[in-house]
Amino acid sequence: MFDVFFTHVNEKVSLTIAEQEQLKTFFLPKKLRKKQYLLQEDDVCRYMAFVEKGLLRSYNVDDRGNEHMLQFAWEGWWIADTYSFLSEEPAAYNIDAIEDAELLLLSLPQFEEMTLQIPKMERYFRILFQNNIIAKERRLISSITYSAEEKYLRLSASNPELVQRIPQHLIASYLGITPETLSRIRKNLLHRQ
Amino acid sequence: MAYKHTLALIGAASPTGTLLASRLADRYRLLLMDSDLSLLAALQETIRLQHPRADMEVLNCCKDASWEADIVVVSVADDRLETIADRIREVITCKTVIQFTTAVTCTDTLQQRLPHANVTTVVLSGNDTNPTAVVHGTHPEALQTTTSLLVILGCVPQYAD
Repeated sequence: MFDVFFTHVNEKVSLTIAEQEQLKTFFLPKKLRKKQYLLQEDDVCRYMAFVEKGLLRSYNVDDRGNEHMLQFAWEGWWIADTYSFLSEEPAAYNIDAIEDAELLLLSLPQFEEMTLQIPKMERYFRILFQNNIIAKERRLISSITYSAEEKYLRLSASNPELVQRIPQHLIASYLGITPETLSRIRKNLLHRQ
Repeated sequence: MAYKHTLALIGAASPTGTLLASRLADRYRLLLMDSDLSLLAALQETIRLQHPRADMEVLNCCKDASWEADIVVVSVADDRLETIADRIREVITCKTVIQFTTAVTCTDTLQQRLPHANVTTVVLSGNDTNPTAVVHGTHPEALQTTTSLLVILGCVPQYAD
């Protein structure tokens, strides 16, 4: 139940067996079925979720009912509406499962207590938040700099498994293009090969 | 639209479990679990008639039900408590677990067996028209959830400590 999580943590900080056992007590294990929500817009985001198994997405819906994909999270990734989680204000995003999922949920009080009791986890989360800032900056640069084809190629190169696993219309939404445009890009790339 | 909580009901076919299932079916997603599968099937049919749009599923494993749930309600004979606790221990860390019993002597058993869960115990007495529910437990969120369930059941909770 904690295999992927401990592998992920131990890549950044080295935990003893005793610390791993202690760490387990701060997390709420949760199974989520495909299409079930973890968070709905306007609710307060009570948990950060680590994905042990499965695939989730965060997105918002505009006034016309169009979904705008913000993030995908699969094995070894965290997902939350971070602003809502830290501020306890209503969430701006929805989070649901694209595939059946097994999650480890961490509440804000448990997060605070955990980092007090196991200081290595404070370092782990500092690294995590640093990486998150970098990823968001790169995504911003990508969205204002690259063409649709370049964005798709970069996504395919950095996450080849993900491109196979996620439905194409969700990838199109993530890239900020229509499914028809993505289909045209893929067809063009195929012809050029 | 608010998040709909998932509630696992272990011992769903017991008299208390049946009452809980029929009263909570339109407010929670229910995962019903009981060792008596024929009683469970009958309960599911009754609830379907009462609440045609109920979001409900029958599971045959208390660990799976508890793993998927946000809230776990245990309504089993007191001599089965320890077995159930051992099966679900791994998946109920930080979750609210509410035990319904009629025995005042069993109020600590589940919390002792599940030290990382937020356990409350509701001791029921009285009769159907005048039920009494005394709540044992200390965790604020678990007490709040327990109170909400008891209000839906039509009980006025009293608090032991």
